[in-house]
Amino acid sequence: MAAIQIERLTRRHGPVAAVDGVDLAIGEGEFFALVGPSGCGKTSLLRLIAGLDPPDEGRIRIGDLDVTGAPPWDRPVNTVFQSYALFPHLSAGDNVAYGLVRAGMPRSQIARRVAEMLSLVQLSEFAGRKPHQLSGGQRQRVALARALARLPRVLLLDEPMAALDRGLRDDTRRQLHALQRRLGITFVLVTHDQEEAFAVADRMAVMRAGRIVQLGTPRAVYEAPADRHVAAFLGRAALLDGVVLAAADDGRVVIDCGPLGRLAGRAVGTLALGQTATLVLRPEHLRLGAEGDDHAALPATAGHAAFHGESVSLGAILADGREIAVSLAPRAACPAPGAPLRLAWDPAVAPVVPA
Amino acid sequence: MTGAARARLYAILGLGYAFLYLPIAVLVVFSFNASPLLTEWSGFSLRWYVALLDNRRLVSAAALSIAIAAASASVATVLGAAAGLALARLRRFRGRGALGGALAALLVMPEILTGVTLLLLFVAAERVAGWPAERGALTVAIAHATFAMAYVATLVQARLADQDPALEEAAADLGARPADILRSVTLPLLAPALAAGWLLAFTLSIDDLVVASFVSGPGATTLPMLVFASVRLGLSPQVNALATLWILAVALALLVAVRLGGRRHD
Repeated sequence: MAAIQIERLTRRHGPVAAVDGVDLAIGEGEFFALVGPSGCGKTSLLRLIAGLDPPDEGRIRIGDLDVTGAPPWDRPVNTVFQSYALFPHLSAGDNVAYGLVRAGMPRSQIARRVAEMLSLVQLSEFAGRKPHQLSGGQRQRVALARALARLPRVLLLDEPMAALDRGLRDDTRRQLHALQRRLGITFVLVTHDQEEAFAVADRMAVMRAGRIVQLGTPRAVYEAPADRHVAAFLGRAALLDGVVLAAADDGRVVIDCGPLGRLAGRAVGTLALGQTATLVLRPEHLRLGAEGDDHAALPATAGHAAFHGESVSLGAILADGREIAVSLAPRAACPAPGAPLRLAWDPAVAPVVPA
Repeated sequence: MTGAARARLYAILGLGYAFLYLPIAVLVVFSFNASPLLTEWSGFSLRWYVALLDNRRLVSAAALSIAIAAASASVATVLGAAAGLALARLRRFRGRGALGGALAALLVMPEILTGVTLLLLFVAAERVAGWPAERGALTVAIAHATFAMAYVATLVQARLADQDPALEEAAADLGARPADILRSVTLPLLAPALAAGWLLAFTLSIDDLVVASFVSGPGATTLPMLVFASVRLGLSPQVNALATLWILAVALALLVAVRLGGRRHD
């Protein structure tokens, strides 16, 4: 049975639909990510699931319970808010206990559960601290412990890592993932950071203008973006627009990119001849070399190289003046700025998507 | 900055302070004057403070004023908190704009108009409903609660405006119903603003001469009314002593109110 079943869900703000007829089923125990640029409706959808806003149309079922009209306090769902929303007048322990008191749990049991939850997020020594005496990362973990304390059927997380330092984020991601696996609770994570979704999610939905434009595993979405917008949102890809010239049965397509010439890639979905399409070239697809397929290569001029530690990102300037990124091994010989290059790729891995 | 420029700035600052506080300083100094003449210093004495405590009318007027101030501040705090909550938390309701406008109008309404309109209201209410039966301490307290609630509502609204709305959502998300959210989250976080509002309302009430003069009746003379009346019969150094105590009390109340109002949890 699905943990969350959403049908034709719509929420309007005046004439604009923040959530526009969304259908979605999220499985029991799944780690699900809702991603998209800001304003795409992902947080609105999360608020509808939590019951913080009422939908204008559609239904929401959690397990076999129809919660469409239910207030937030009657839903088997808890939320980690972007601001954490810890009660500033209560200690960390009392914050975690807040929901348990409301659930009518006996006092001795509450104390035990609070201790359990705080140790789960490695904050046992901080039970007596007020939120303003905790660091950002500790507050985030208190918020997580508070939301998990009631053992909800579904845990909703609204950009839980947006306020954390970059270094802390990687760690937190890993812990969040381990925690979800251990508890087996369905997690729904809202994020604008595709890397975050890739790192933790079993499946993800990419949203735009209140609709889900693509649904799938992170790998599937990354390798075969549904359209140009999804490709642009996911990762630092160069997007080369053209018109489909030839499409073979094995998926190979060649598109005419005007001044850049004829370029080959792998079709995502079916592309008709003459249709506008976009070749998605990711930094890791590209290599420097002279050999290979003439339709899977571009002449370029070397630009600035940025050292990232685990890789080097080389800027390559194409014939039409635009700069695209090429990922090189850190020890690879780096061409001097201004040197002529030939960028080659394997057409079987470079997606060509509808514009 | 050169020494001369700095000295000039301090001189200007000193002038500003003198303009604001010199009259009060003179009053405080002369409250300790042994002479009954207001203009002539003849040595330090506490005689006017002693005389003050022997003045039965003055002591009873002070007690009445404090009682009215406490009662009206309490009523104003409850009503003002309710109005502030409604304005800050309920997004849309019929009459929202009217309520906000009415509260703002109370803040800027000339006191004399507040006094006249409330007097007319009380007279009409007595004739139509028979209540309040006569004007006195009760009508003064009602009048003070009326204008003080606008100040409390403003304070509460300001505090709620910079409080994260997700706090109340989090409480609901964790299973709390609206009445429980109000009791366990909203009110505890508002407590400093409510205490500051109560003290402000108390200060406004104990300070008020104009509105009280209109809506009070025989037998209910507040401290400002008594002082005003006695000054017209000639200044007594007792008034200086009284004013000094008064300034002290108001300053303390304001200090507490400001500290409470400025307190943050995070």
